[in-house]
Amino acid sequence: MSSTAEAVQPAVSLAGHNRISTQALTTLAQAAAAEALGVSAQDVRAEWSDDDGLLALSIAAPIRVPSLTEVLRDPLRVEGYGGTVWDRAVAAKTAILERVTQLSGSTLSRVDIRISGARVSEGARVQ
Amino acid sequence: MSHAQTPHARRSHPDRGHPDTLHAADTADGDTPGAPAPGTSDLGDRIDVGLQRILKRETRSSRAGMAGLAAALVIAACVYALLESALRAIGQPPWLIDPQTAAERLTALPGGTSPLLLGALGGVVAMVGLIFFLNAVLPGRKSRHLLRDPRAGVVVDDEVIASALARAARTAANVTQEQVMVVVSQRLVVVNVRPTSGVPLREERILAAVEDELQRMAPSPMPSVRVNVATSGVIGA
Repeated sequence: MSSTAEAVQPAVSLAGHNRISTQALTTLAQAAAAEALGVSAQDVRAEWSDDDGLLALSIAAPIRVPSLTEVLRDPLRVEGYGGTVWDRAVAAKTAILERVTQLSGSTLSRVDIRISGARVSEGARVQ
Repeated sequence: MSHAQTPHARRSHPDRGHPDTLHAADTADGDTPGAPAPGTSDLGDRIDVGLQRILKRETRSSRAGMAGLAAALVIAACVYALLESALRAIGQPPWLIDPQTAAERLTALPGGTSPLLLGALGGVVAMVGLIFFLNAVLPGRKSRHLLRDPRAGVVVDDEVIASALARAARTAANVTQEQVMVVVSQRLVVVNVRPTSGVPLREERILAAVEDELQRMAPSPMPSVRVNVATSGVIGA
């Protein structure tokens, strides 16, 4: 992870300055969160803040859940989705942090997730 | 901003009619420092003496204004004393106060005057005296540095040095212009850097870059460098 971050930094001998805008970081975070939570990227709200020189990401997004009739018919569906909403949000934090760090080269210190709703999936298994 | 000066205007150098700072810095780099100045040594010595004087005048602030003010005050006091003495000598009534009464009242102090007023007056007089005294005694350096050049005296404003050092620090830290602030004083250069969030800065690298730039510039007197990296960063810069 850290080696990736260092590889992104340009060599000192080259003149010039590269910057990744807040817009790009936000879009990246939205995509990573959408992927981790199984929703579309437009539904994700991502905000950046500074945490003692590192990046702190806070995300508000809905999460994809199986429909209750399906769960009633087959309680194992919950496990198939990755556990409870709480477990999935906790797991998504690590996934988003690693993904964004890997792609942007910036070091994230923390990811806060607020689940703002549920998208009920009627179709086939997501896994 | 820049301030470079050719002291011997009679010998014209077409290539540096109006040398700006960068140009002067480049030539200071390119020429071998300590190369003998053109012309005979006698002429060179005379130029050197004149050059030293000019450089000193350029790096110290002038005291002509304060000296003139002090002289004017003394002249006004003397003229008034002369006037009163003359009026007394020819037996006319005094204009404001005649000298003898003034001296008597002075010796009778603090008779009748409130000590508060006396103290305030004394404070004001002491303050004015202190201002004059410090103006006379302190070196009064301007915020300028000298650059070495074998042929010309080069005086550079500190803002110019600060801007050059800021560029070096910015390149080393890989941040935007707004994230670097450099303050140059006579003996100290302070480099304040705000990092980009998520990209930790290496302080020693910035320090090395700034010191390297400073060594190549070689201003006199040579300031020391201090780098401050802010704890909070800038997002997306």
